Amino acid sequence: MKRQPMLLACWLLVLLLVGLWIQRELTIGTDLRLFMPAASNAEERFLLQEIGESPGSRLLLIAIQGASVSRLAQLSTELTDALTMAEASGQRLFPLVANGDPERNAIPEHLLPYRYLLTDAATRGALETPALRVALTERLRDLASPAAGAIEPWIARDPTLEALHLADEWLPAKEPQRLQGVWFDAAGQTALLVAQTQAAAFDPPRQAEALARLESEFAAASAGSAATVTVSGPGAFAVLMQHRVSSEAGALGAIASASILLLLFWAYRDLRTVLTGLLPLLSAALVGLAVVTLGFGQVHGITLAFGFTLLGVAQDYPIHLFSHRRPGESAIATANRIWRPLTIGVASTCVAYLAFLVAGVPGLAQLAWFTVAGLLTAGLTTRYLLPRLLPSAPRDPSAAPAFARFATAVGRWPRLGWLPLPLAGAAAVSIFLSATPLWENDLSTLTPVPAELLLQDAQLRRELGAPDVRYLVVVHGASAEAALARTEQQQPLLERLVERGVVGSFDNAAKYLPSPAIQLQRRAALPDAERLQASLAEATHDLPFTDDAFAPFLADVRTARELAPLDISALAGTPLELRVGGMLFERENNWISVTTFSDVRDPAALAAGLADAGEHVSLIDMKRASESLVIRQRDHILTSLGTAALVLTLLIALTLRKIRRAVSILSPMLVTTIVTVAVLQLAGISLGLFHLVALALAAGLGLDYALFFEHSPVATEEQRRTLHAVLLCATSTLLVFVLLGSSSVPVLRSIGITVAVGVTCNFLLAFLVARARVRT
Amino acid sequence: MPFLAQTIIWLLLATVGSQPSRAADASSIIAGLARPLPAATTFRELRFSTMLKEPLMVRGSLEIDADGNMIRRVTDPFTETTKISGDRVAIERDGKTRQFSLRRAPELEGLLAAFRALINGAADELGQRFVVRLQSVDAAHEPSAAAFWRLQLTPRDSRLARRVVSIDVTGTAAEPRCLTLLEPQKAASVLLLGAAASLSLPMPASREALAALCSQG
Repeated sequence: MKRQPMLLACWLLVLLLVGLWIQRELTIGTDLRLFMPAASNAEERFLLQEIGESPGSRLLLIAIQGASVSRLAQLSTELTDALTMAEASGQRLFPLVANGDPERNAIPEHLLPYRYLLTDAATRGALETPALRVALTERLRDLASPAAGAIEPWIARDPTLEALHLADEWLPAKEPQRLQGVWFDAAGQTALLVAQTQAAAFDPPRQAEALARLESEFAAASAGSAATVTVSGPGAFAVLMQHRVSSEAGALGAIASASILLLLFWAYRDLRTVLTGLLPLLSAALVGLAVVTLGFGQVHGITLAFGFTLLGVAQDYPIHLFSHRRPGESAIATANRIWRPLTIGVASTCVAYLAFLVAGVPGLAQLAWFTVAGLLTAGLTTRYLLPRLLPSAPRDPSAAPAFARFATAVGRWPRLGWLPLPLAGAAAVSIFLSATPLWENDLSTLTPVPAELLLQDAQLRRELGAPDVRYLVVVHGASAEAALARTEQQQPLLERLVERGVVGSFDNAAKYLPSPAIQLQRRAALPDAERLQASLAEATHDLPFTDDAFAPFLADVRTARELAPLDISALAGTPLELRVGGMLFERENNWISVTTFSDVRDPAALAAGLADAGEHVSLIDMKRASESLVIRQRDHILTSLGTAALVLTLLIALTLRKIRRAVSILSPMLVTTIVTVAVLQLAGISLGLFHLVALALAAGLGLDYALFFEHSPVATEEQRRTLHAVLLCATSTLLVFVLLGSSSVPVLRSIGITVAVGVTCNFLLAFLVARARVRT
Repeated sequence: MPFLAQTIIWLLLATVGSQPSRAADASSIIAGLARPLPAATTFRELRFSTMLKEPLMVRGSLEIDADGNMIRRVTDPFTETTKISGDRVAIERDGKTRQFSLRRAPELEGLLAAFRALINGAADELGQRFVVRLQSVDAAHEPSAAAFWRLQLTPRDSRLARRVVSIDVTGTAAEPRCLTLLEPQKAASVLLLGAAASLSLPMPASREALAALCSQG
């Protein structure tokens, strides 16, 4: 007896050490690309590079409502100021915040002289006497206006207001209406802002930090008013969903665990049995995590979610052991007796999950290692360690009078070996006739954001005139200059497309950063100090300006004449870096310049218009690329699952050496898969990645049920024990997944519903089909 | 006990004594400036700047409407309308409107706050934003100017203080006459209000000459 506590202590110690090691070593990844297949063409490669990184996906859309227009405008300005100020003090949270206020300084102080290379001031003649005269007369009026104090330093430096022209030019071509100078929605009730985060969209911890900052700044600005702020965008969703998934999964998990413990205690009436029964699953999870940590160093959040779902099968192993015990038989003997179906179950489930290994998707490979290591651990610990911890002379849990009566009653039910065929046929017909598309091709379903939030986001994007996320033009170049020059060459073509109404507007880096050639041309047109001085003197003749009023202006033009053209590296650390950097960037030694569009009205005409733009220019349809990625990802998974099913069939047939037995074991899970798909279709649900994983779990469970029903000898008592075991397995699984099915998070809900339907169907079919024949 | 009582009475007397009486005077002057809204007056503004050889001069009207919005209309030598509502300033000239936040122009915000408080006759409101000093009412020295007063407002807020040195308001009895906004680096705006707007200006219109004009009873 003394060996039992020792063994338990050692087991727990090992688990504790492994747990501590994992906690120290493991980092949880959030990059969705881990779950994407490799790109097969330029379009998909671009999509994969840009998921979560593109400026559009880093954009948070901010809506402030619930106060008067003037108060909202004030809040908009204060929030923008606070976030910009935080940026200036070195916090890299929001490199770009915009609320439509054109007064905001677009160019950082030290780059100001570059304005004469960035605008066409010199080439349009703005620095010649007649234009200067007009501008200076206006500036005189500005000096007499109430804004004089604020703009006086600017007038001395920039009498032709080039910085303001730049800021105006850089405002999005299509923008929301401005009330009191800041962006508002069409109804005029919501102030709109955009903020670009430094963090990638799928980086919830850093997104959460940015959001917390935004909310605290808003709270400070709006103290004492009823105004509320809504933040939308991929980053906000990532944070929200992480929070919601983890809190709901936590709550549901706690309820499920408590219910299962109660159920097991009710079935076995022995606390020690129930508690030790948790050890194989716990070991499975920890060993699975340890293996993934060793192999990959980082585990994706989705791997964890899917992995723990799939590991659910392992909870059945101890139940089989407990329910199959006979009075007076040692637990080790019971384990020996059920070892055969248990081994086949563990081995075949492992084979099935190994299929994910060859799917060619890194995240799924992680999933395969995690589940296979976990299941093997659960199987082996149930076989070799768990029996040594159990009391030696148990009661027969299935012998309780009520259960015995139930078992006898259902035992008389006929075996319906023929049932699978018509059932599968009916389900197949129903799938064939269903109006619901079988597959969900939308990549966005991988991001489990509730539809109402997506709708709100789409509405905000529309109001803000945010660029179309579907169509993009990508220009490649060996250097930034080359890509920029090619983009600049496209401008006339793009402008024609705008004129023809094919697209509403376009935006690209060339709009902000003219190519070196153009900058040099403008620089050459800048007057020298003497000429500018003379023009200025002539222009200010009889105006009341002092002689040296415009010294800062003369100095800036003089500086600009010496400047090398502004390139993207000079923008580092400025708000412009992000704006331009989002549209002109280097990927794998190749410079990419992206043109975005707003309001694409005629995609076909857009494609036709760009058809002969050259080999370095390509129109990208992000939706098509993402759909083809999803389809290929699914094909990978389906192929691997199909291969797994074949291997599984062979494995079972070889082990059992009889086709008929193999058929009666495999048919429940195969038919269940078809029936489950049919039920989902009837409910109007298209299949996505989550459903496939859930179906794989249900199939694994079904296989176990059938194996045990088929294995148990015809002797009444043993069959009663198998019924007890399988019924308990099925009930506990059903409990967990019905709970998940009640979740408000779409992913959890779809896994829950799929597995719940699958388990029920699997149990019924395994009982009706696979049960050993009663010899009459 | 008698000692304590004595001390309290002495302290009370000291508090009620000479120093706050001057503040009370300022309050009564400010209270006397109150106007029912909407209120309007003509103005002439002279803008001094280091960029300018001579001040710029514009004429027009200032109005505070029933909602507390301020409207400044320039009619001479060109037409321009500025409307300040809430935090927003909209300047319309030649059919084009430019808008900006008052936060971009703290001096304007300060001037506006002072103007509003004066037109409301709200001394305490003024006192929250500015240190208010009542200057040189010397009835004995200049008996005829008994009703003349000068209020000097110095910003309390450091942000405002960086852009505004002080705002001087002068007037006679319940009539404000001049409002002078002093900015750093010798920039200044002098607003001649009401009847003062149509006085003939000294030539050249230097700051000193205007100061003298504003101080005349």
